[in-house]
Amino acid sequence: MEVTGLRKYFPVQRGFLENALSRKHEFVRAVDDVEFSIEKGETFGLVGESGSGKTTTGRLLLRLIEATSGKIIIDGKDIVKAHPNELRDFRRQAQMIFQDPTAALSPRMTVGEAIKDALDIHQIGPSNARKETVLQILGRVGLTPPELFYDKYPHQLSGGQRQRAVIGRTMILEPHLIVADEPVAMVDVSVRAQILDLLSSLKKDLGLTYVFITHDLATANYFCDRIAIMYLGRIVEVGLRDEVFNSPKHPYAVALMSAIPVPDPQHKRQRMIPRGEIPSPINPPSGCRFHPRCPKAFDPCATKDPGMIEINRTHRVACHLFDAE
Amino acid sequence: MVEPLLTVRELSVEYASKRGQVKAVTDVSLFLDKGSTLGIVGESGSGKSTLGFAILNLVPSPGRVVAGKIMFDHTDILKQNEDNMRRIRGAEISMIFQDPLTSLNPLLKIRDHFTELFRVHSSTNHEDSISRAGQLLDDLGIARERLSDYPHQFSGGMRQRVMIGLALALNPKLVIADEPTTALDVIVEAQILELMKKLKDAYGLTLILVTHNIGIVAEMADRIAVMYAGRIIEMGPTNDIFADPLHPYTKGLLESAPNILHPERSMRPIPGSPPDLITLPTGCKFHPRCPRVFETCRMSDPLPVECKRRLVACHLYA
Repeated sequence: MEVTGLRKYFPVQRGFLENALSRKHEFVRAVDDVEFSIEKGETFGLVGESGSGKTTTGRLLLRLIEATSGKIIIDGKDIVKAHPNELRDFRRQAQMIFQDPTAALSPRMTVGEAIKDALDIHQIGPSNARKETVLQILGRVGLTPPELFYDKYPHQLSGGQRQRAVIGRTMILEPHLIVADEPVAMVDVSVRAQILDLLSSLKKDLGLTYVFITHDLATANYFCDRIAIMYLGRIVEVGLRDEVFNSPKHPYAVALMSAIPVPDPQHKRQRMIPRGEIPSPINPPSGCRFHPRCPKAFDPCATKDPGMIEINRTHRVACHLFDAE
Repeated sequence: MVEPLLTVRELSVEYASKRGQVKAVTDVSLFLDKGSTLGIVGESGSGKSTLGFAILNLVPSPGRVVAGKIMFDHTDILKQNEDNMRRIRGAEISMIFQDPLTSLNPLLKIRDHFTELFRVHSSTNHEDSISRAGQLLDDLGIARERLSDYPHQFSGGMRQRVMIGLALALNPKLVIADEPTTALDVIVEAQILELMKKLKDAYGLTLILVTHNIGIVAEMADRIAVMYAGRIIEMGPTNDIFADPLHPYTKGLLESAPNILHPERSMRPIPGSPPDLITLPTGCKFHPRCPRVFETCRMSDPLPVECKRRLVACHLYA
């Protein structure tokens, strides 16, 4: 997958009078010129705070919302421009897992019916064999005995079991690409790792590619091969997991790393916390968007937008500190 | 020996539901010395928030304290009438909630939140109230001019700062913070934690920190109480518990948390899921998930025993 120049601007909703009186249209620049590529079979993490544009990027990748501009090339095809008919196949091969499994499952359908529904919609396999397929996948995602879970309603399951059911419904379509948006954020801590391990083993078995969206750096560190850190609609740093975590370059990435609570009372550190909070994405700061909060800001930062600068073949950062002399 | 500021003895809280009694807190005992910070950790449904509410005698209906005693600074909390309790809440014990937006009144300016508090609880006149509020805002790192703003003009982090300011305004003897940073982004969370550490020293606070995030208790708490299925299953000094967790659940909880410094030693899942509080397992409530379970665990509920300077409720140490 190759993403270039991806943008999504949402128009700002205003009252009727304001619209009538003003000609100026304002936009929330949720995703603004984002560029990255994902290899088949890898787990790519999109990490950022709320408002960074990570979720919008994920939705754009599956064309759940229309991009303002840019290209998303998957297997040689531009998803942004694809005709709705061409999208039908793509929609089966590319699936999304959402944060809240309770909202993703119909309360009136048993878990088995909900999963079978996905097969019915896409007309996969002969209809009399579909139940058998569902039972197999229930077993695979750890809802055993499958016969028992087939007839359970979502409210009879725990949070972790519900997320397993959602994963089962996603996997039964045999997708190639999965965008998982905070899949473990609403699951209990002791169960979180179970769900991540399930996703890992499914990936190995089915040869999947994951885009993993999270605000939780520690989870991203555990789960992802490569990581992109987003700030105000931009990617500020991208690299292999170890590169980003062990030697973060962008001052924002450094700040994020130092902010994470560490479960070790002996661990003493000096935090590098930026002043203030994330500014509005309606009128983002000029130049580098992080410059008003950056402890290392200097001359060009306020005026000149840093492009992506290559540290090495895999590690890139958008920061003037690394401009070539 | 100095008497603890707070003593909770054999406290049990239940909620009535259609399916039966939900045993949210069972037989919890703890004490808290003046000036110290106790971290209460557990997953959702472990009873940690209910315990916090019970200390304020604020268990929401249909919940009810069914047994136990809470002594706070020579006052028997559960025996106070509502008028007395209202005097104690805010002035003696205050609370910081998870969601600052629903805790602030959208129709009142920030200044009015403070002046109302002073008017209800003390005889401070209006001018003094405002100057005191301004001083608090200074401590919180917010410009004084913003006293005349409304809550919606504040970001999430700023609102949580205001909540902390309101909790500290009357110099309470005890502050209970229930997931104070859970709704915040990681950098704002770090800002709030640093602020709380600073204020803890400046105001000499006694703090109960309720959270599911063991990274936060590692940083903030002197002592930790780990809760599971409504019970405290291990309690002791933070350093000891992190260095050598005794209860298998504590060990599992520490290993299941992500650790950015040691990714290889983190995110090990605990099998199974937390129990249903209506139909609890027999014996030790953790036994169906415990890697070290043996015969006795299925039959009898372990009582807390003292072991290595702490309390642990596990048959391995009986």
